Amino acid sequence: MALFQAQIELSHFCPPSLAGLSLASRLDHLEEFWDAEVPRVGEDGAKGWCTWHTERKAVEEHFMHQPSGVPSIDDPYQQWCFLEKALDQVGVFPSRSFNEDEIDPYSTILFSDVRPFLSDVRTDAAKEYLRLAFISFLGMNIPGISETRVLEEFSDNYLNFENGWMHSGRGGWVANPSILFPPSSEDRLVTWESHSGVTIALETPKRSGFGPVKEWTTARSYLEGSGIACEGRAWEAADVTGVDASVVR
Amino acid sequence: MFHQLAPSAISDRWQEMSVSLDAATDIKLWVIVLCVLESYLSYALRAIKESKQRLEQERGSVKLWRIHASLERYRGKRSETSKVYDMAVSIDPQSSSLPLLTADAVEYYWFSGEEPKGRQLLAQFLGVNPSLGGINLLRAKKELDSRVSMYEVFSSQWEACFRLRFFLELGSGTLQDALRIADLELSSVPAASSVHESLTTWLCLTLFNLAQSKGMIIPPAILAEHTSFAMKQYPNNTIILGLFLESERGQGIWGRVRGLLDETENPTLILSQSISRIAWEVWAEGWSHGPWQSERVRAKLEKATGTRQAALSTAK
Repeated sequence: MALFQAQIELSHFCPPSLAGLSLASRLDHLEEFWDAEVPRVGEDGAKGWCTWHTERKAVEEHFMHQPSGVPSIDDPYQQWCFLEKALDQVGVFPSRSFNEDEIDPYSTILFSDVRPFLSDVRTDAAKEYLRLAFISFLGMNIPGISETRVLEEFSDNYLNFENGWMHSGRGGWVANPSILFPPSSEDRLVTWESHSGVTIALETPKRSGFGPVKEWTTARSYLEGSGIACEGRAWEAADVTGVDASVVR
Repeated sequence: MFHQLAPSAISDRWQEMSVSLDAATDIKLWVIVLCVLESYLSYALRAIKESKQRLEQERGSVKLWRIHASLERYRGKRSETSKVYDMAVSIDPQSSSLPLLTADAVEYYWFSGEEPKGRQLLAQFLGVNPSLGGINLLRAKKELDSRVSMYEVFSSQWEACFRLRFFLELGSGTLQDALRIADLELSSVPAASSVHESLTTWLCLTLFNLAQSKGMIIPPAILAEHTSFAMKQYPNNTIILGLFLESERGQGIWGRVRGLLDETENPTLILSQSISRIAWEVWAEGWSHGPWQSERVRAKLEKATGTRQAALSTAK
């Protein structure tokens, strides 16, 4: 998350006065913003590096919500599982030094941790791809994005290798894998019966051929579906399972 | 995220994605409420409400009206959808979003079995008499050619004109005529490009939806032929794969679907497959015809995991 935040602040919210500087210089300035620990892109109240650079306003300490407490679960594995799931929901953003999480001290991310991975993203196509990669990272399916190649212009950086940004997303897999399999109740369904000695197959349930997996060209609109009522769109209720829509919104 | 990055996002797609997310998260809430109250409730109310608020600020925006119409379609409100389309096509004749809106509206009416209404809108867009016959038809085609030349090749407006041309041919001739023209125009688009895939998907889906609508008989062979050809070009496109399943429904020939899923007949299949295609095949195994074979699925997933790991190691 921190890496995406830093990359987006660098590529989308760079102050115009710094845009002409070298990448190293811009990163030095970005480090000042990062160390100020004000809200960053995606967080409540974030105004962007550019605004902070102009206003240099101190903001109230930004408290990151952490899981409210560990429930009384005896099994240590279940307890760990509960905490991990809870952190997925409420601990999605890096914490700050003034409210460092005792449970996970590494949740505060220093700029030096992310600096080696930041790239100079300049073109509109690459910026668009970065935005989509971020949304994918947040759990939304972006049909067709894993097939997109926009990074040829960057010859030697981490993000060019195998569309590195996309490895952080779902990459085409579904939010809830259990929907790929038929319900267990169907295993017990009777598939045939006998009438007067004649074996007759029962009518199989009619399922739509358009399933939960959604992958198509990026040129297709997000409001277009497969049917007249736009059903089968890229994002429907089942596709946002487990996604913190408030963060994405 | 969407709100914070909106100023720097230059494509129209960003707004569509934001609205689509609203509709998706909103419907979760209303499905639950519907089950509890057992009464009729409209879906995606929040998304509709926010769309109306945006329209109050920009009443002349054809783009926003197009998005609003999509939301009403999703809600299943036919009267509201018709009202929006009928009104919006007359707002701004110079709007760059007008071809897209008109194409959406024409499609909607055609699929709803209201072909005359669709023809009327099409004629209105082209500035000709709705009869679409004789000299009027020639004028309509000439006007459409003129419109196409105004737009950047393969832009979204150009795509909208492609769709309108299909319905123009369909409204004035036979399905075969419309398909012949569409296939000819499609051949001018670079193969394997996103535009080509988008139009190929649209064409197959349109044939399917026309077959589903009242009063339109599409020979199954036509859909099957187009779908099979599209599948070879775009094997990871799940809409085309879904159309293939739909076209096989009731055929009683499970072998064709089995053959698609069986990597023993296509040893290189897994190497060329994307993760989404593998996920789709796992789902398709349980789509129809007989009990679900967990061993087949397990073997497929194990093979896919091993093969992709080996391929990635070799690539590095």
